[in-house]
Amino acid sequence: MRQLLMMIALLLTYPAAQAQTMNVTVGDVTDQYPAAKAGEMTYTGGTMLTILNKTYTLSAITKMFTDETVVTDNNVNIVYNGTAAQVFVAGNVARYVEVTVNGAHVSINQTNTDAVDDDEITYTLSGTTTDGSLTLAGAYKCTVSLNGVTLTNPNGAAINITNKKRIQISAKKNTENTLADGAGGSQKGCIYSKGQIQLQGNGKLTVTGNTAHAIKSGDYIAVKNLTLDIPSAVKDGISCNKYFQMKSGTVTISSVGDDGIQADLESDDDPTGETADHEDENSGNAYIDGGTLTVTVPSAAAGGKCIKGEGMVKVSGGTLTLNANGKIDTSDAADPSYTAGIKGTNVEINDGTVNCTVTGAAGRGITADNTLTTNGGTITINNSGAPQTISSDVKSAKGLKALHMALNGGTINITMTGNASKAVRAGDGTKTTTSGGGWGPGGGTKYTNITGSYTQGTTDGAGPAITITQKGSAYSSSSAKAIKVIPAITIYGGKTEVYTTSSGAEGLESKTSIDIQGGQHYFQCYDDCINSTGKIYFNGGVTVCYSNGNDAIDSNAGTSGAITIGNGAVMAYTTKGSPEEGFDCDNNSYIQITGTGYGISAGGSQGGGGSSSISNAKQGYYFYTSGGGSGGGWGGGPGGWGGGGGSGSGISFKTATYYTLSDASGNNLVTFSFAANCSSQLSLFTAKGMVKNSTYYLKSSTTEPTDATTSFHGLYLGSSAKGSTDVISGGFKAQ
Amino acid sequence: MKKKTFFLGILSVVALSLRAADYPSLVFTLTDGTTRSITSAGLNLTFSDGNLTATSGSTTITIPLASLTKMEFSTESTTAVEDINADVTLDDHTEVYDLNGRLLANGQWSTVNGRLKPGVYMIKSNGKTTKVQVR
Repeated sequence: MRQLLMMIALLLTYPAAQAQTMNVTVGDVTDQYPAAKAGEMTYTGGTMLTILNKTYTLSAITKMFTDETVVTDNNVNIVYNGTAAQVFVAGNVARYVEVTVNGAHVSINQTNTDAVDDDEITYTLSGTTTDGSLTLAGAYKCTVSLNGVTLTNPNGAAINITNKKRIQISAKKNTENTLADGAGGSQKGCIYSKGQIQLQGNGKLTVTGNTAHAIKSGDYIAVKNLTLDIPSAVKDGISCNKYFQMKSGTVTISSVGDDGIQADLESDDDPTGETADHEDENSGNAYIDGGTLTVTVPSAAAGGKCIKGEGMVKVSGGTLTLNANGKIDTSDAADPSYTAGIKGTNVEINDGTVNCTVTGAAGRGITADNTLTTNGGTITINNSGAPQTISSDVKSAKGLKALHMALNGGTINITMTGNASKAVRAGDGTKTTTSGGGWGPGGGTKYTNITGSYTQGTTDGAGPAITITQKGSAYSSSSAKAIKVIPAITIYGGKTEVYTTSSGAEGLESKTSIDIQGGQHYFQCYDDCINSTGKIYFNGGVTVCYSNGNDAIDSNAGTSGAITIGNGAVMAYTTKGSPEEGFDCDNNSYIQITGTGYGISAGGSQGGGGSSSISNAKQGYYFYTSGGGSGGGWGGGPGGWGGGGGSGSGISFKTATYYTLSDASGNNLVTFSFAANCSSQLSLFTAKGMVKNSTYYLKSSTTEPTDATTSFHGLYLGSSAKGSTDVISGGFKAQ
Repeated sequence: MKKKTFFLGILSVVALSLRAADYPSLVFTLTDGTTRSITSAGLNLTFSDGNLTATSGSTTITIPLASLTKMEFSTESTTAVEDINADVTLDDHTEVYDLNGRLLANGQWSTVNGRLKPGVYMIKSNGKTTKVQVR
C-alpha cells in the first residue's frame, strides 16, 4: 500500500514535460511564467505588458520566449558564472522581486509583506564567481538555498541581508557551498544579516571571514542539521545578538581572531532571559542542544573563547570539542581577558559531552562571571595553561571558575598541569596576604568581603562524579590547587577523587568553611587534602584523605569545632611524618564529635595544644599518641603489632594491612587500611557504637574484607571482618 | 501480485490524468475581438517597430501592438495553419477560400496565418491548393 501511495505521489508531482513556460528576460533577469499560471497577459497602450501583476516596458524586454522549464513556485534561481550572474524568477513572485545585477553582484529588493501562495520566497544560489555577491532587502522572511555555490566577494560580504526578518540559509543535501569575503573591508561578516538567521540543510557550507566575523547577525542565529565549516575569521566565527542555538548538525570553527561563537544582548531591546521556545527572546544566551561542535581558538587570539555568551551558555546535548589556545588579552590591564572553552555570565551544563583542552596562558576551561551549574553530561578538561604575572599579580589557569558554583550532577574530569593553576575556583573576596605564612592561623592569605557560593551534589545525596588531577606546582607566591573556594563549601553528595602532587597543592580548600553532608570523596594530595580557614564538618558521606606531604585535614579555625565529626565517616592520614597530622586543628580539643559517625586519623605529630580530650563527645573515642593512650588511662602503652610499634613510638601502620576496630565481643565497628605505610604519633579512633569507658580492640589482618556494605579507598563499613593480631596490646578504653 | 499491479496501473492512469493540462498554443486577442494563435512550443516573441512578432518553427505572425489587448496560453491546438504546404514561406502570397469558393483572405502568409477561425479552408499558394482543417 505504501508503494502505491508513493507511486501516486510521484506521478502527481512529476512535471508535465510538455508544459510551456513563458520567459520574459530583461537584462540578466528572466521571469518565468508557467502556462498554467500565466493567465491573461495584457497589453496596454502598445508599450506595456502585464503578467501576473508585474508590468514590463516592452522596449526593455531583452528576450521573450517559451520553453519547457519546470518552474517551482516562489523560487528565485541565481546562477553565478565567472563575472556574470543570471537570475530566474518564478512568475508567481516576480512582481515582488526587484532584481539588480551588476556583473556577478546581485541585489534583490523583496517587496511582499506576507506569504505568497502560502509560502515564502526561496533564493537558490548555484555556480561560481570570484567577484560576486548577494544582497537581500525586504520586510518578509525568506530562504536562501545554497545549491552548490562558490561565492567570493573581494569587496564586501558574500551574502548581505538587510531584511530584518527571519532568514533561512539552507545548504541543499549533498552539495558543498563555499563563501568568502574580502580582506580589509567594512563588512561585519562574510554572511551578514540584520535579522534572524537559521542555518540548516543537509549539505555543507564553508564560510571564511576575511575582514571581521565569518557569520554575523543583528538578531539570533540557529543551526540545525547543517555541516558548517568556518576555517578562519578575523574576529568571531559566529557572532549574533539575542541568542545562539545549535540544535543539531556539525559545526567546525578554527583559526578565529576572537571567539568561536559569541552571543550578545541586543542593546535596543530589553533583556528577557530565556523564554518559552525562545519566542521574542533577548537573552544573550548560547544554547547547545545537540550536534557536534568543534571550536579551536588559536594561540594568536587574545582572550578568545570557544563559546561566549553575554547571558547564559547552556549545554543540553551534543558533543563539544573546545580547544582554547588563545593568549591573554591585556588591552585592559585592570581587567585582563583569558582564553576559555566556555564563558558566560552564567553557564549551565545539563547533558552532552564537553571536551575542553586549554593551552593558553591562564586559560579557563569553563568560566562564569556569576553562576556555573552542572546538572548532567560529561565534562572533560585538560588544561596546561601556564601562569603569567600581570601588574605584580599572578594570573593562573582554571578548570572551572565561577562566583557561584553548583556542581549538581554529571561526570567531571579535570587534569591541570599548569603551575599555580586551580582545577576549580569559586567565589571571590578581598585578599590580604600576611607574613608569617606557613600553617596555622595568623599567616598566609586571608579573605574579607567574601561573596559567592559552592555546592556539590543535591540535598537528596545525589551528585556529580568528579575526578581532578592537579599536576601543577607553585609559581611565584601562588600554589596550584585542586578545588579552591573562597566562600563556604557544602558537599551534599556525589563522588570525588582528587590527586595533587606538589607543595601547596591542596585538594579541597575553603577560606570560609567546609561541610560534607554526603557522597564519597577521596583525596590523595601532596599538600593538605582538605584545608579551611574556618571549620570543617563531616556530617555525612564518606571521606578519605591521604596526604604524603602535609596534613590530611587542616582547619585553621582555632576554636572548638574546628573539625567536627557528625554522622559522616572520615579517615585522614598523612605519611609525611612530623609535624603533619591526620586531623590538624592546632589543638586536639578543638575536635568535636557531634554525631554517630566514624573518625580515624593517623599522622606524624602530637598536634598543637597538647590536649587529647574532646568535650561533650556524643560517642566514645580514643586518642592514641606516641606516649600511648591518653585521657582514658587504661590500655595505653606500647604500640603493638606492626613491626614499627614499640613503647612510646606510636603505631606503624602498614599498607596492605587491614585494621579492625572491634568491641569487647569482637563485633566489627570499622575496618581500615592505608595506601602507604604510615608511622603515626597521634591517632584518633571513633566509630558508631563506641561508648565511653567501654573496652575496644584494634587488630590487624592481611586479609581484605569482602563483605563490607561500604568499601571506599581503604575504609570498610558494615563488615564482619576480624583482625587477628593486636595492634594496641590488650585493647583500650574509650574516652 | 497481479491484482496489485493492475491496481497500480489504474492509479497511475488516474494520477497522470490529474496532471496539469498541456498548453499547445498561445492565443492573441486583438482590440476588435478577433484572435490569432500560434503554437506555443519553441515560441519567440519580439517587439519592434510597433509590432509584436511571434515565431514558432516556420510560423510567424505579426500583430500591431496598438491593436493587441492580451495573450493567453490555450489548451486548444493552434488555429494557425502550419505546414499546409512545404513550399509556402512566410513571405509567400496566399489566398484563403472557404469551401464555397469565396475568397476570405489575400496576402502574405505571415499576415494571413493566425487570423483563421476554426473551420475548413482551401489555401492557394505557389500554384498549389491544399484543403486544411483549422481546429
